[in-house]
Amino acid sequence: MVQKISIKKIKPNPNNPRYIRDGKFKKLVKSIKEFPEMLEKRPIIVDEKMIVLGGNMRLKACESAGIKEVWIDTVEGWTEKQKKEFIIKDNVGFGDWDFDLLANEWNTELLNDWGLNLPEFDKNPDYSILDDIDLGGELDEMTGNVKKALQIPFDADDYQRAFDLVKEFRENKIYVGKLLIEKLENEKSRFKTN
Amino acid sequence: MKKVDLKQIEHNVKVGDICGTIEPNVTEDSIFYFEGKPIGFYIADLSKNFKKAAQLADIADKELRSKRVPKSVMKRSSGFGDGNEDKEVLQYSTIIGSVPPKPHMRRPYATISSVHNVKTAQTFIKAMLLLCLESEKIIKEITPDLYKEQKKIISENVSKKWRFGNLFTSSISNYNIPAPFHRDAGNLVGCANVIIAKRKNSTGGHTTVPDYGATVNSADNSMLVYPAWRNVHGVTPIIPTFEDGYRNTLVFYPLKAFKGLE
Repeated sequence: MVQKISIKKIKPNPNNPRYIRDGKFKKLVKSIKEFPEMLEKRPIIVDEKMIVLGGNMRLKACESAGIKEVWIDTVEGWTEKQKKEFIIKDNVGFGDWDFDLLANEWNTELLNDWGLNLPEFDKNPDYSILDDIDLGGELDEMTGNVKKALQIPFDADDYQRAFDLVKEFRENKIYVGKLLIEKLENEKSRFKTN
Repeated sequence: MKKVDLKQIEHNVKVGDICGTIEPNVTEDSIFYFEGKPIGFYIADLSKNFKKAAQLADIADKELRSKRVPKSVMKRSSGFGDGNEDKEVLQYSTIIGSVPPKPHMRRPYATISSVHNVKTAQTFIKAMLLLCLESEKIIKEITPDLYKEQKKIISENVSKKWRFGNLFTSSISNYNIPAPFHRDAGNLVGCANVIIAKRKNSTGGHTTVPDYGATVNSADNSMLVYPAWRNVHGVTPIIPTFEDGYRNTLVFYPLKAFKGLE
């Protein structure tokens, strides 16, 4: 039976598995304040002990909005299993939104205000801010001043020998790169003269 | 800004534990104090008072999501799923700035991320470096002591050539990557990280610190300055609310691996 009673008589469900975030809660409070007539058409559902089965968030929001009396509908004779099933099914949305239609036919600001989550779209940032700032070669300096590596493949028979040699030179703090360049330069001038 | 006195609390969280969904309890501009000393802060929306930083974050975010920036890619199910590969959620990251020696990878020397050599990534790198410098200005303005201390630690330990900006060595951008509980043990002790969040059509991705029972809202355009070396922390799961949903963090951090390196 739908009736209007003191909000103090209603008990929030301690096992309610749903929660509401701050931003959405504020929107719900605003929504209730702006359109309280809806509360009569969507009463809070309670069991015989006045524990909420449907409308925990609305109850909290009504309290926050300063509402003293709210509309309830009481279910009678339901098993615990039925009550649990109701708590979930009451909050499951099986339908999907047609966002194209909403974007074209509805005021999206109002939809957002009413608590409907609309997809956000990518915006193009203003790149001109980058043109106004000169880093004075700082980026080039970062890469121009560090060691870089080349991958040199070796035949299987030579690999371990090369590995051990490079390791030994490194351990003795000898710059292998320079030695390699010098050796290759020598080889280059030899085959050029030939 | 709200003053938040962090207090150590008991918990059972260990390094490696998976971080589940936790709702944030730090949602407004706050400075974090521990034992009377400021150790970090949170700005919920950079675009309100730090427009330049917000603009640069927009550019870096857009560039990172383009094909112009190379990245290490992973994939996971979106939860929208019907096994359709197109609906898988992409996860990727890109490191720029200095990368420490990795002898186990046969690279016994420090270097600069190879991303710096990619021509198409130059806009991203410029935006990130400028964002880093803007972040430093914000740190200096909000927590001057923290700025001074971090500048001193970096100056004393890291040669100029390995610095990214003035307070950091490196940067990583994490796209849709949550994290199990961990401590950034590779960071310079006494220094803070900067974590700037960009997101669209997603929930989660909040940084949670069990030691203080604090979970910081990873809001779009938010900036968190936090000493990640100090405590175990995790990042809550990122859940898209629409198919293109994502959450990206632009992070600047100081590594101790460059200590004393020429």
